[in-house]
Amino acid sequence: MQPWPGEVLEERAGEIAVGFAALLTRQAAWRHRRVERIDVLSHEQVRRSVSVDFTVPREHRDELRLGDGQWAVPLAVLDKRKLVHFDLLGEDGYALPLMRSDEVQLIARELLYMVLDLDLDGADLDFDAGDLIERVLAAGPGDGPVVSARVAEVADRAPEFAALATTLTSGFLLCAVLTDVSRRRVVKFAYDEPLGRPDRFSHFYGTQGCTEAASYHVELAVPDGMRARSADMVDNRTGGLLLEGPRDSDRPGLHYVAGAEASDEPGLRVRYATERGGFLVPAMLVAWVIAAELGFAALFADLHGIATTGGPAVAVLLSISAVFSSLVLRAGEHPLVQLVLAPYRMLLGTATGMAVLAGAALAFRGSPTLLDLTWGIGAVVAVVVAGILSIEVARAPATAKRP
Amino acid sequence: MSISDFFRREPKSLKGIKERSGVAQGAELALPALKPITGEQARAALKRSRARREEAGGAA
Repeated sequence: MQPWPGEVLEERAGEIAVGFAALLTRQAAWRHRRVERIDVLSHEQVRRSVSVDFTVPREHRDELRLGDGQWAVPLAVLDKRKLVHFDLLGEDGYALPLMRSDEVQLIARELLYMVLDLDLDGADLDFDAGDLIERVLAAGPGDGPVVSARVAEVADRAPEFAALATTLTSGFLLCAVLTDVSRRRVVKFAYDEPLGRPDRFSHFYGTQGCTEAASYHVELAVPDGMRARSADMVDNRTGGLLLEGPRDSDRPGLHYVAGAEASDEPGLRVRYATERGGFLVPAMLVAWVIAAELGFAALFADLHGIATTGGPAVAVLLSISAVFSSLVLRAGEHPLVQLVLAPYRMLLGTATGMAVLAGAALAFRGSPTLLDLTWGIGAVVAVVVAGILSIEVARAPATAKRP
Repeated sequence: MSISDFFRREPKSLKGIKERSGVAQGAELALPALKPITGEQARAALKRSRARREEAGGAA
């Protein structure tokens, strides 16, 4: 009777762990390149797509064999939290099989015992390794601190075991099942992740995988209407700049080759800004037009005389509202762009509101005091708004040339 | 829009910039930098650890 798939894995787990031990301790030697692409879906969510380009060394191919024509290949360590919209794809874009977490646990168990044995180097065990390893493998997202504390207790006797066990307490090995490892392969995985603490200008995207291949590339798909003023790889722990990226780019890409110095908390730090062409320049022009209309009229016009004929005032009121509406009610804008521009829209709305109020005072033949107040205050507000928008236009990057 | 938004300036230090930004940490964890293990070392360690486990199981 032939063994069933689950039984095959139980039999093969030790041998596969032998292959994993060799591969995972020399990741840059067989993973040629990792490319990460970060798409900003909204101000609350990004999608991360990772492609891993690798060749399984010939001497370890047999060890990774799962059964007839199938091999297990470790691609990364992923956090044990639930992943949203997870995809695992091959070069042709078709979905690839993924080992279940309980299947990977069989291999990880052997791997932990193996690393512990190497750490002990013949010394006797003075703690219950079996219980600790089972706790590590079974740890859920909420168990991390308790289990990690227990692991830390053995770190002086088995440092490499403790380091691996700490990682496997909060993460699991992402393993693809491939039908061909005789050639160079590219496997892709992608998932959505929430953006903690949404921020209008500064974002930090963790890049823990930057040392796990010979070459690492990260690129950012900046939303339409925005630019990355800066996109640099930094170490959050030390504040050190690992790699300086391009300035004012609408699609920044960074190529990083990890050196001897290890970074504790590497990440891509991006400073966003909206392009000046889309909203800011027209908004600034409208604000100056409103400021000029209200200001010159307040200073030089005979407002009380004009109030006897309501026609021109109503025309001003309607024309401003029409221009304003075309700027504010813009459909199809990226949510992050909307968030960044919201305060400027509010400012423009305030200036327009003042113009409408002044026009209404004129149209409804307000008293001379009311006319002076509404047109005078309106002019001051419009000048302040136009000034703020002008400064923002001067600060903003130019609009990207898109095909 | 707050006043600090309008006068936004680059921070003097990038240390702890994650705590001052919108964060997408990523679901990936970095594996610790372990000493390279050869296939032979791993196989020998597997054999020893299994023997140890069998011994412990037998003793229990």
